[in-house]
Amino acid sequence: MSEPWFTRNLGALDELRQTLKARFPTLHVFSDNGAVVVRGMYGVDGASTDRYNLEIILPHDYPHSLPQVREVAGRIPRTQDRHVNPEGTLCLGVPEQVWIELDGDCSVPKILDGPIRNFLIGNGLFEVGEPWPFGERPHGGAGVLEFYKEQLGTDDPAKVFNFIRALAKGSVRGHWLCPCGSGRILRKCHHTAWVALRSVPKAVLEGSATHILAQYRKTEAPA
Amino acid sequence: MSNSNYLQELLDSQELKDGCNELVALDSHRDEVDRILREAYPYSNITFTHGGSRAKGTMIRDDYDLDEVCYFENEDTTAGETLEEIYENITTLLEQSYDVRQKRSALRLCDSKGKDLKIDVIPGRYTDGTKTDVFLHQNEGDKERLKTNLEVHIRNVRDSGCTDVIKLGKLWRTRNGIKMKTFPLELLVIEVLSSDNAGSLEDRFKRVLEAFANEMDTLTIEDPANPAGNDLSSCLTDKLRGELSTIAQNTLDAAGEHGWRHVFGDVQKSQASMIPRVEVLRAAAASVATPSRPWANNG
Repeated sequence: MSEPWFTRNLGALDELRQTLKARFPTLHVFSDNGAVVVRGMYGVDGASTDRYNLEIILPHDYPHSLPQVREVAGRIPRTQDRHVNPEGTLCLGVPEQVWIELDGDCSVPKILDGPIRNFLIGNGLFEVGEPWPFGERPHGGAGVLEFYKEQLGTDDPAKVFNFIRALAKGSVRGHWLCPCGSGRILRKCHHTAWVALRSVPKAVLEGSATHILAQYRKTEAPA
Repeated sequence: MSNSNYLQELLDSQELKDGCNELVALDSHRDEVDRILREAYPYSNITFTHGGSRAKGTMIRDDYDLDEVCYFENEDTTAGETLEEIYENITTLLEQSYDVRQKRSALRLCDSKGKDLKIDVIPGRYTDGTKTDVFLHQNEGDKERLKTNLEVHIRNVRDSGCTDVIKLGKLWRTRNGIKMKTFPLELLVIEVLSSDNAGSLEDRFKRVLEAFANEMDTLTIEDPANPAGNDLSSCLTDKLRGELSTIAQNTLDAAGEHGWRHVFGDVQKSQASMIPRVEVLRAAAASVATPSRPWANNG
């Protein structure tokens, strides 16, 4: 495993502490078993409004991949219908979508201002009987396929799977055939989607490929 | 507005005044609990009284509950021979009307939909006929029973001269998501201010935070009602001490650079003038430039 971010850049941890003090004074940085964890209270609209007790575990390659985010006061039920995984992490969105929204910068202030805030606003409205304000994705592979349909115009699992595999390999040029299998060159087919998605980390793409395979098996399985 | 004035206004905004909706709801459930117990044990002379922050004068709007103490007389065995039997029998009794969650010594009441009613019922039995000390059943820890004295606890806080700083400390704990029980926090504040409780609210609150930041390893607390028999070390672990120290220093730094309002946010002038939460959330949703849709990892 490569060296963690806070030992590679000795000033980065202090910078994070200073940023939190200035922008989110009730969130604090701790070291927990070799990991850096941000814990404390986050208000969706400032310190005095609709607060959540959060725990954000930063990855070893912070800020280049998504952290794990949990609500730790028991306010949000740990059920998939509330978009919470069984181990308590919030499912902020399909990882590729979150990555694109953040432009690959998964720093704590950016995820707090973006997907975490969006999620918690939605959760607060859901608690009082309103729908999620920005909609919600189907669970698992179906949600991944829905996202890729918006990018590629198809939810054919085979085409999406091939496209993701090519993205993960990262070896397609503009004048090569588009990995969706249309027979056209990439530049005249899914070039925009390719450009948007090509910086997504390989691990994220591989995770989505696994979801799509599982979804394909589910839909193809005999009744 | 000066820092001390801001902190005082913040505390005033946290006061739950007599007749407010929150207290009326608490009192209604308290009366119902008392009625249920009286009807179930008509020949028992149960002592019902308030414990906790309501009795101590340290209740805050952000984080309140009601401790309803119900003590049986020393010789009374109608609710159970042992403390555990009393605890379990009262649990069963209250479960006919509430969803009951057993805590260390208290029973937390929720409604049938699981909504927390913010009521802790604390059953116990007096140790003797003087009706001063009581034994409580303990669900966790080394000892199955705890000797305690409600009046001593209440007096220790109420007459400490630092209930305002305790309230501010509780608000600080809540606003920073610190997982710490109220009892050790009260004892810590009293311990820090026992040597010097002079000055403005801000001076005294800062004194407490500075002690948390710099002397947390050496601060000690003991149960005034049972100094030798109630080991509080599990309430103040090394991990918690470390967290308190870090958060106290961060708070002092942030308040020093940006003021207390930066730490605690705007003071809500009155409940009536508050914008309903749903409207705040709708406005926040409308201001989102890059919406994102939640998902779930497993289908």
